[in-house]
This record gives sequence, C-alpha cells and structure tokens, in this order.
Amino acid sequence: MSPSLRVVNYHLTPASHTGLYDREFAALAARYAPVREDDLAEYLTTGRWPMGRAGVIPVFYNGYRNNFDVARPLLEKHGLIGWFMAVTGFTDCPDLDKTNFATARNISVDAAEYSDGRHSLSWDELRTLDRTHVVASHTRSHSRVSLDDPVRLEHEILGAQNDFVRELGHPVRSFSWLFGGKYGENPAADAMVDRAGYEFLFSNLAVQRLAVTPR
Amino acid sequence: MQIDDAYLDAFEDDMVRLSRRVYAVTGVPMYLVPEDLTGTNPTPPPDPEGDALAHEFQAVCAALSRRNGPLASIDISRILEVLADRHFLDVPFSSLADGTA
Repeated sequence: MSPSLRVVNYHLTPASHTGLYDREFAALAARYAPVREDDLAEYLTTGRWPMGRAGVIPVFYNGYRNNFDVARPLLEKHGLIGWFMAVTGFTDCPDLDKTNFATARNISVDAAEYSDGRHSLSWDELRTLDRTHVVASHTRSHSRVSLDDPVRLEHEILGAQNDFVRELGHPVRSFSWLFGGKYGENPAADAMVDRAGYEFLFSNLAVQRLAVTPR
Repeated sequence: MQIDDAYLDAFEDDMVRLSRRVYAVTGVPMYLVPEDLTGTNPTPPPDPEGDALAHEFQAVCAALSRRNGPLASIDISRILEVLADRHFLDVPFSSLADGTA
C-alpha cells in the first residue's frame, strides 16, 4: 500500500469559515498543482504528474450551494481546481423540500443559511463549475455501496449519470459513494458503475481508475 | 525514524484530536492509494515523498497493531489523517484552523 495521492475532503463551506478556507487554499496552492481529470489519468498511468509538481485535489461532497458561493471564488483566487461531487437528486428537488431531502439522506445542512431553502447547487451553478472545475457524481440520492436492489442501483448510478448528460450535455467521469465505498465491494454496483461509463472512483482509501465501457 | 512509546502516544493523541473536528465544515487532508484497474498499466510507483510516507505508514500500522491489536479500517483512515495533517504542508494542516500556524 503506497498512499501518494493528495486530496482534501470538504463538505459544507459556510461563509463564516471564509478566512480559514482562504488560508488553506493559499497554503495548498503554494505547494501543489491543480489537477484536472486528464492529469489524474496520466498520473494513474505513469506515476508522474504532467504539471511538473505533485497535484492536490480539493473534493467537495454533496453539492452544497455554499461550495459555489464561498469555496469557488477562493479556489479561483488561488488557482486551484475543485472537484464537486454532486448528489443530483439534491439539486433536482424543489427548494422547499431540500432540507427534508438532506435530513433523510445523511446530508448536513444549516437550515438558517439560505432563507430561500436552496441549500444545494443549482444546475446553472453546476454548468458554471463544469467549465473550469470538475463536476462528478455522488449518486442520485446519497447512497452507499452496499445497496443491493437492482432497480435502485440503476436509479442511483446510471440515473445520476443520465441527469448529468441531460443538464451538462456530457457524462461525468468520476464517481463516489456515501461513506467512501470501493469498486470491488459489490459486483452488482460495480457492473452498474461500468455501464454508466465512470472512469474514476473515489473511496476512503483509494482513487481507482476503471476500465471504461463506452456508453 | 524511531517509533517508540512517546511517538505512539503523540500519534494516538493526534488521532483523537483530529477525530473531534467538525467534519461537516472542515477540510480534511488525506492520502489515497492510486489503483489502476484497467489492466493496461502497472500501479504507478510513489513519488519520493510518497515513498517515505508509505514507510512511515507501514511502520505506524505495525506498531499500533502490536500495541492495540488488529487495526480496523477506521483506524487505517485515522492513521492516514494524522500523517496527512502532519506532512501535507510545512506546518500541520489543522494548525491553520486553530491559529497556531
């Protein structure tokens, strides 16, 4: 086991922590290079970063609106690329239902943060992020790898990919489960991940490059 | 690198301290293992820093299993969190939050 990929895992990025995130991104950018998916593919193939120095991947889980409002401008100020793991059902559900959606699915929100109730990224925000950052899938409703119902597996994995194709105009390349499950833990889930065409799977301990099946 | 009782005591203190962070609003640095499952490429070798880290990681895992018994996956994650906190930057990453950086 040779852990050598550097990620920083974030969830909520409230405005009250702006100064801290600014310090963290500044320190990361001073030492590491931003990473795009093609850079990660090359690193996983050759063991070398094409940018000439080691990369760092700030990962933002769940698709929170404050990732766009607070983290995104700071990432861009410091020249970093954020990887935004969005839960498409969180984005799709009506604003007034988002707190209930989140509460029922292990997604933390501060109900007082946005008075209009829209705690998730919107599709317009995801389209904006998709232009300069990385948008990725964190399932459709924040599901874990142990899911064994074939209908729900299709809904969570392929359904989320279909949501991205519909809204972004292309499939996304990276995927992650709630609680960081790995490819190899559930053959039925693995088969659906393959069918959806995901190329990278982020888990608690690894980033796996998968054999992509053309969609 | 010597892994003695003092080192392990400090390491376990860090494991507890970092586990008390409010994860929902905290940036948590982590090292991940790169795995290529395409069957077309060998696993990439670690960079020099990653190589040194791998040795420290393996030594800490072995020492903590001798001290406390077999490690669970959550223990592995906590060990990597401490190593990442200590080695990502020139100062502990968590010190950026507590104002000691």
